[in-house]
Parts: sequence; C-alpha cells; structure tokens
Amino acid sequence: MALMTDDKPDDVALAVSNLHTTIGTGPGAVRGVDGVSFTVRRGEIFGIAGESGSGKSMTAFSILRLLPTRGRISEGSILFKGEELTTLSEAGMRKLRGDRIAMIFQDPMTSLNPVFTVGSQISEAILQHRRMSATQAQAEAIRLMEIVEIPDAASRYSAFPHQFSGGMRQRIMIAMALSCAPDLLIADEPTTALDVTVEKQIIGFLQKLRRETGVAIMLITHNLNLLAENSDRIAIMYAGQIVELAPTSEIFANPRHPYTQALLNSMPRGHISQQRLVPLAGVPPRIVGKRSGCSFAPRCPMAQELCTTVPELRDCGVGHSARCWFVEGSPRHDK
Amino acid sequence: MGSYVLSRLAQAVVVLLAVAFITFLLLHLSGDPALLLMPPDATRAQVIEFRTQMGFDRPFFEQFFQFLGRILSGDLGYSWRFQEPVLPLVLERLPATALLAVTALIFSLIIAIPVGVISAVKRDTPIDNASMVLALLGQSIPGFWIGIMLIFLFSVKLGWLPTSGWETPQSIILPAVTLGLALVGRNARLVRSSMLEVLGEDYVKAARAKGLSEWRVVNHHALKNALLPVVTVVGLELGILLGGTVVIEVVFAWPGIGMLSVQAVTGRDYPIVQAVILLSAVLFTLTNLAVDLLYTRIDPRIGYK
Repeated sequence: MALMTDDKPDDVALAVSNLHTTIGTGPGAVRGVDGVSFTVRRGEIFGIAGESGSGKSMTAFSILRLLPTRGRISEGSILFKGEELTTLSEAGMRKLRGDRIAMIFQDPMTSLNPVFTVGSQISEAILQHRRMSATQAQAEAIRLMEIVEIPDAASRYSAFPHQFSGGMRQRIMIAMALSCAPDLLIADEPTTALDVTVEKQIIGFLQKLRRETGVAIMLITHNLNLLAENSDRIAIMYAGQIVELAPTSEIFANPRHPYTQALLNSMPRGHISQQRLVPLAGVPPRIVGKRSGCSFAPRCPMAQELCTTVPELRDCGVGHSARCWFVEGSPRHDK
Repeated sequence: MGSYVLSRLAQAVVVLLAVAFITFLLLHLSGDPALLLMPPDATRAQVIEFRTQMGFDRPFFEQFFQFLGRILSGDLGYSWRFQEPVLPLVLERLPATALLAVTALIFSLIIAIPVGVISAVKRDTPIDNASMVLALLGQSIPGFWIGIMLIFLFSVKLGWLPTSGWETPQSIILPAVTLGLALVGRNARLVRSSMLEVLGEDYVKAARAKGLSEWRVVNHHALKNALLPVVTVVGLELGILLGGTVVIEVVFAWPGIGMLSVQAVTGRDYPIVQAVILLSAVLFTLTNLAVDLLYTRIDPRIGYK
C-alpha cells in the first residue's frame, strides 16, 4: 500500500486520461466509457469493479484498441510507458498486444481455440513477438506451462483445450499472457467462470507474478471481495464513469459514494455475518446523448435536487476521490 | 475413437438396410411384376406359371430377403432394355458422374470460401451486399437455364468450348461450372454466416490480443472453425451429386448416372432404376460416413467422448 502518491514517471505503467469510447455514431451512440482517468503503476494490482455494463471491459478493450466494429475512442489519451496509444498505428498496436500488454479473458472455456493444441497456441504468441525457431518456441511454451504448474507439461503440450478443466485452461491463458513478459496485464474477470478454490490459485499466480516481475495488473471484476485482498487501489465504475477511486483499504473502510456503499451493503463480507445484506434494485443505465445529472441518482437513496446536475470527481482524502455532491460532510448513508 | 467408427459403421448398415427395404417396397407397390414382364397376349395360366417360377407368389418378406441376398452377392438383375446385368451398366456410368460432381464441387469451393470470408469480414459493406445478391442469384437461377446460356455464349457464339458430350477434356468445363454456380451461392452464404459466428467468439478476440495480424486471425484461427459446418454440407452435396445430376447431365449430354436413370425411367427399365436408387443411397451413406470420420480429424472435440 506504499504505492500511493508521488508518481515517478518510470513507475507509471499506464496513464488513462479523460477516455471516451462510444459505440455507434450519431445521436444513438452509446457512451460506453465516458471520461475515465486513472493510472496503473508498476507492480500494482489496480482493481476495476462495477456491475455488468458499467464500462469495465470496454475500458480494457479501449486500451488494447480491440473495440467492436462500431466502437471507437472519441476522446482522451492512453499513455502506456509514455507512449500514446490512441494515435498509434495499427501495426504499432499489434506489436504491443500480447507482447507488452497482455490480456486474460473471462471464460477460459471459450477463449482458447478448440481446434488447435494448447501448446501451439502458446508458441504462436511467442513466435509472434520473439525471434525464436519453432523448436525453441515449443521449449519455451513448455517452460511457461511448467511455471503455471500444469502437470506433465511436455506431454500436455499437444493436448487440445477440451481435454483440460476450466482452471487449467485459465492457467494456459496466463502462460500465454506471460510468454513475452508484459509490462501490463489486463485480467478481465479472470476467475468469474471458475470455482472458489481454483479462483484462489489463479489469483495466487497473479500475485506471485507481480511480485516477481513487477508487472502492472488491471484486475477487472464485479466481485469486490476478490479485490479486498488482492488489489492496491480500486476504481468503482458506474454507467461508463469512475464514481469512486481510492486505495483498497479506504474503499472498504470509508466508502464515500452512495453506489460504493450500496455495493458493499449488498455483498457478504467475510466474518461479519450479523450484517443484513441490502440488495441494490435496478440496473445501470446506458448513457445515450448528454448526461442529465448524476447517473446513479435514480437508484440512489440520498438523491436530492442537486443531483440533477452532473457531479465531478471530487477529492475526499489522500488518493481518494468520489463523483458525488455530498462527498464532504454529506448526509452519510450508514446502515 | 475406435468405438466411434464402429458405431458410425453400424448406423450406416442400418440406413442401407432401410434403403433396400424401401426400394423393394416401392417396386412391390408399383404393380404385379408378372403382368408387367409377360407379353400382353400371354394366357392366364402362363402368367401364373411365370409368377410361381419367379417366386412372385411367395410371402413379401421372403421375397425381400431373397432380394437382399441377391444384391449382397452383387446381382442387381438384368436390364430389360439392354439385356445385360444391371450393375456393370450402372458402374460404367459412375466415373463420368463422379468426375463432374467433384469438379463442380471444387469449383464452387474455390469461389465460395473466399467470397464468404470476405463478405463476413466486410460485413454490411457494399462488397458484402453485392456478393450476397450474386450468391442468391446463383442459388435461385435454375441450372438448366444457366447451362443453356453458357452453351449459347461459350459454344455457339464464341466457339471456345464444346456444347455437349465428353469427348475432350474441355467438355467438363461448362457442365461443371453450371453445376458449381448453384453451389457457389449456397456455400458462400454458409461460409459467411459460419464465419460471422466464429468471428464473435472469445478465442478470436484472444488471438487478436496476442498481437496476431488480422490476416492470421481470420484465415488461421477463425476459418478453420468456420469450415466445420461447411464440411458437413459439402459432404451432403457430394452425396447428392454422386447420385447423378439429372438436369445438367441431360442438358450437356453428359454420359453419367443421371442420363442413365432418365433413359431407364422413360424406357420403364425398372431394374436399372432400382439399381440407380440403391447405388445413390449407398454412395450418399458412404460419403456421409466419410465426412463423419473426417470430422474426427479436423475437429478434435469429436470422437473422444
């Protein structure tokens, strides 16, 4: 948790500022990502949490510039190790993808190609970015499979994805992501499709990885409990915007945005079993056109007249900001 | 793997038995063979004697099993018109039909796969729309009309290619193209829709996230998956084509099974018709079996369960 202030430029792996990504064009365009800014530091696990449709994955795909056909980055900047990605050529992006920025996907059952062997899919990533012969790449792929603790890696090299369990497949995805020692690893719900014990192992790998290699990890999830123990800072996203950004301990000890509070109240928290869970009704809106006030206001228990005006992110502590009018000395929503 | 092959083989045998039964039944229903075979001026006693002699008075299933025994020993009867065993007559025509079928199919795939892939990648662009309109046209214009137009253009007007027959190697071009054009339409549309589905898969996103070029993502990662359903359909198409492509063979006087069956039907040469039906069914079943077995090679998920 020492990584909080005083960014030295070398320490910043990724700096996203005022990122806007829209899907579609014209008046019907959806604001998938709407003015998002954050930095991810070297060796840091930066959590992004929010409900489905809050813009978490869209942010990730914007960074890799792998948006759906109708999606585009309309504004803002993405600085990766000082290099601007929004204006980089497609060929330049291809050099980065899988090499210096790697990604792990939500569902390991569907993110490996069923008709190729797992080994060939790892070697392919290696051959794409490193000068190696096919034999060397194969040896390297087997080494990576051993690193992610796939038993009997050498003989499993030529097995097909369907011959592995979900957890093993996710390890293979991790091996693939590690193949070129990336500076930034984007993990988009990497454990959502897995059971809890496997989740522990996978997250364990990610932790070990950032300790040993100093890779910056963006851990995207809807599971705040996962982030509680495994992230340094957390951004809470809602309707395409970051509504609260703070060090992990702060988010849990002192949540300032009503949405964060509602999320925390709606989830079971370890041993505090006395607490009653409060469900959060409704779904996040899709923002089309201009925003009219705080997007959370329709679901917010403390919404007032003021909330029909769009709030900005406001500082409310060291490295802590929230997008709410009542951040300081507000009518706190306590249970 | 071995048990998969065995079970598919067993299924093929059952299908063929059913086909033999239906063929026999149809012929059985088509009237009294003794009356049909005897000259019109034969006496009643002669007809009865013939019927007993040929076994036509035996119970239905006894006759069926005799029929089954005969076809298993390769005896499909005598052609009434040619006064020759039927099987060699039909088999003699098979190479011409097979050659036409395979050539037409290859021609259609050479065009359909690139067109389908490009349409899917350039979805909803003018290229896609134009290709799909052409594909629909190819699919909906009757083959005989295309055939006649091609003959008119390339044989009559330009004199580049023979109008019919199969005397020269060039003879196959027009019938194969005619037959292929109809298939191009269907196959291109199939490749396109299959490709569109695959392009939305996570593993395609993952391949892009590895930094692969779009060319490799499309033609390596996506195409191999997109072709799986195409293999099934192409197998069915081949099976159908091997049974003889009646219209095209007649238009181009192509000496294949289709021509033979038209001649047999008009000449009421039932043993030949029966043999053609049986052979088509056998070929269709075998092609499908081959496709299913091929599937275990190209899709690793099948056959291991």
